[in-house]
Amino acid sequence: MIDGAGTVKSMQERLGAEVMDARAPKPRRAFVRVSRGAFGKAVRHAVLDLGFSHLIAITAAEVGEEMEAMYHLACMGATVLTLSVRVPKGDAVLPDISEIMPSAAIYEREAQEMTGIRFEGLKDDSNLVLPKGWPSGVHPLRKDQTYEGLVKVKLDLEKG
Amino acid sequence: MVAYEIFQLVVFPGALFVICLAFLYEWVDRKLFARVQGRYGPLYTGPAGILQPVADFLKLLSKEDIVPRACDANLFFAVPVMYAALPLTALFIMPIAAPEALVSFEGDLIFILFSFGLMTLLIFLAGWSSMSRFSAIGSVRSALQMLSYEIPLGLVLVCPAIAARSLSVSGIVQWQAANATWGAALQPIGLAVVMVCMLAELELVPFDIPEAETEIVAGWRTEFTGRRLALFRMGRDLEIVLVSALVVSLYLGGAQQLWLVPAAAMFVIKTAAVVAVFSFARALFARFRIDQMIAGMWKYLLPIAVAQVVLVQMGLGA
Amino acid sequence: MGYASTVKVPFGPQHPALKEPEHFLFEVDGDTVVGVTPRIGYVHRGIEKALELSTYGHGIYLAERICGICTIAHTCCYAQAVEELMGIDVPPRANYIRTIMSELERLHSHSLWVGLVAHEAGFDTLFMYAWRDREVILNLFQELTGGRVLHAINTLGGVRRDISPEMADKVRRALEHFEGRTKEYLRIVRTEPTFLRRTRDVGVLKPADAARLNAVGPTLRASGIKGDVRRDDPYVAYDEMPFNVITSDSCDVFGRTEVRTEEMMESIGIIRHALEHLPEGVFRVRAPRNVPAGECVSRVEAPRGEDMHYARSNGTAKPDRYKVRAPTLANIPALCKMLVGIHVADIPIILAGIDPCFSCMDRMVFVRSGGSTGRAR
Repeated sequence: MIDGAGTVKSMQERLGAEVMDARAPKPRRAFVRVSRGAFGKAVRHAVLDLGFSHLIAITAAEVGEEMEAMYHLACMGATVLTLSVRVPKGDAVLPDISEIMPSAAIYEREAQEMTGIRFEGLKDDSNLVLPKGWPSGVHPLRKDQTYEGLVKVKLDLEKG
Repeated sequence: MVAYEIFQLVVFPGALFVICLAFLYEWVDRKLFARVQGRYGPLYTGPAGILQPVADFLKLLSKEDIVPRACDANLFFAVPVMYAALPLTALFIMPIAAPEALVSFEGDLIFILFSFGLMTLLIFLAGWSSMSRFSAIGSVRSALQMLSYEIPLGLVLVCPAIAARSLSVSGIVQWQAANATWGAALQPIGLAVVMVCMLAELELVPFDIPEAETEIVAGWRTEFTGRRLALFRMGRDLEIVLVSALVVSLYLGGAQQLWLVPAAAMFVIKTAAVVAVFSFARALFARFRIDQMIAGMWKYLLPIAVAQVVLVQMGLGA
Repeated sequence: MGYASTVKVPFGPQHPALKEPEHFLFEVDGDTVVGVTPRIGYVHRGIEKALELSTYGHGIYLAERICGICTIAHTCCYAQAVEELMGIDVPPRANYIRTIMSELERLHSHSLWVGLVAHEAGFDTLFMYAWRDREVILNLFQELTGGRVLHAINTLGGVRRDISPEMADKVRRALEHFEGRTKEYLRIVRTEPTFLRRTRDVGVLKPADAARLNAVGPTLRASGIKGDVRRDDPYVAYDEMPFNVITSDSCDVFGRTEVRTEEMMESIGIIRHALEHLPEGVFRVRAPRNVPAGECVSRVEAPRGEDMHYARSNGTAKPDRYKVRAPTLANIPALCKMLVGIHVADIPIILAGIDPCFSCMDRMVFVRSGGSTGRAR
């Protein structure tokens, strides 16, 4: 089984300068951020070569003018690699990885609704968690969405 | 004389007595079932909650009556009344206070069998008329279930009749009295088969498939509320009395006086014991799936029932 | 059947087999399910957004309310994440108490589940027994923490209450009783023929599928895969606890029942060991108000499976992003796999088989149930 430091080393060796940021703060944790172009390669390397075959979740977050998607992957249940990639808000599109990782679809749909990162190639991109008729541009987990604003959207929805 | 006959029909051992028995047995069943599960069961209405079924009945009568818009109104209104009336009618054939029933004719055993079939038909119609998905599934399951237990039940119920050379329930009771024996002693296999079939007839666990709560809400009863539900519940209670009366009459000596204990008291004690057996059975098992139940009935129960008939024909247990 | 190939049967959001509102649309051909579409989100309370809007100190109360059954798992996971960001070390005694509480929670959650699955199979007697005996654990919780359902025992920097030697004796005595009852359940679920008929070969999830679809918790272990965060990625005091990771090769609802019931026995062993070796010392350290910038992934084995929290701080008193992944969501892809090709009558028991906790799963959209009053559910 590979540990955090080993994971970081292997990712750096494979991807070289495409790794933007990498660290292993604890023996069983690794955080690796890769460039957008190398994302597909990085996922395949982690999943197929290093054995990070368990997708725990996908976290999508807003970082300034960019959107970040973090794929929490576990190897043999123990080492957790957080593989992240940033895309600009204006062009927040990432490839769907459910070909490699069948359970990814559910987290991708969730992230897509909540933060507006679009996952290209999703088979079913209907609303999974948001109510029927929810306005398409409103993504609740974006920083510009306020408590009051979201309550208003919801109330308008209920009024019809 | 006429007044006495009317008293017999209406009060004892007729309609009123039988309805009281129905409520009493619902209490016996609920109390025992609860005690087996480590609960108290009915507790507050009357001593030890004995009046709870009556209270529930009255409460349901006063509840809002909801009629689904899509239902077949005629059937929807008629079925609950028929469901309560049918077992009440059939109970007049059962010897309750004496070895001779109020109504008795050669072939009334066939009528009882027929009324069981009719009950299931009513259940089917009840579910069908309410036009709900859950009700429809429940009624189809009920009909499927009947198709599987009806034949072993019919076969086995004929055995006491063959032994007694009478197709009348009262005749079979009198034959047992005359020979100082019980049908159960002569045909234990038959009794076992009848008990299993009756669990299915009454839709009790493990055969409560047509009203499996976790799968199809209340099954065929889902759409019934208020008075109609009250009538269904009373019909079910009366059916329990009918079924236990039939088991007692055919296999446990029926309403016979024992030393100083009058026949009616013996009848109540014996039927209560049968109800207790049903309560224990439904506390002990998980629910079968419909395919498992049908397969089991055809694979195991039918051959056993046939074996019982063959045994009786060979003169064993007759 | 020349006509009507399949029928669409909706299941939920209101249905007696689902204790919480969730919707599954089944495509049924005769009596066989050929397709299933889950639709979640009926009990979303926007907890992730709420966590971002509240301070770290408030956050623990929100984490407490993510789920009513796995409240200790969620607070434990939250506290771990925030403590890691703060850079504080939890005293060993607090870690032991957290372990004891987590295992007590597992006991009460699993006995609740055994009752529920028996109820789904129409076996109400076992349901009543299991829930009656679960009271023993709930009463223990009341004495240990003051709350039967929400315990508020974990806090940033340790635990809120100590376990006195007298309380430890009480716990031991209660466990003695509970152990006997658990053995009885094991005997019942293994031998009761009607129950076996309803659970054996029902809801089959092959090991390869379980791994491929990333199932977690008892659902994964019942497919013969030894996956348990307590063993693989030890947290609190699990690295010092002797216990076996229970697996079953039967891959069906029966296996899930067996795994959970045997896990209860293991939990009893863990609690006894932890009480025996409870380290002396303080049970709480002070937590700072502000948190330096950073990020961390915290994992906990909740009764239903792996629970993950991800936290990212930005140096202020509120988190920048907080992500919660409850185990039920992870089991949904596996559940959809199990539900295809089964009898309609088996739907409830298979749904119950993953021990779904939908309000746990639905936690992140900012949607109020009725109007603008912030009512937590």
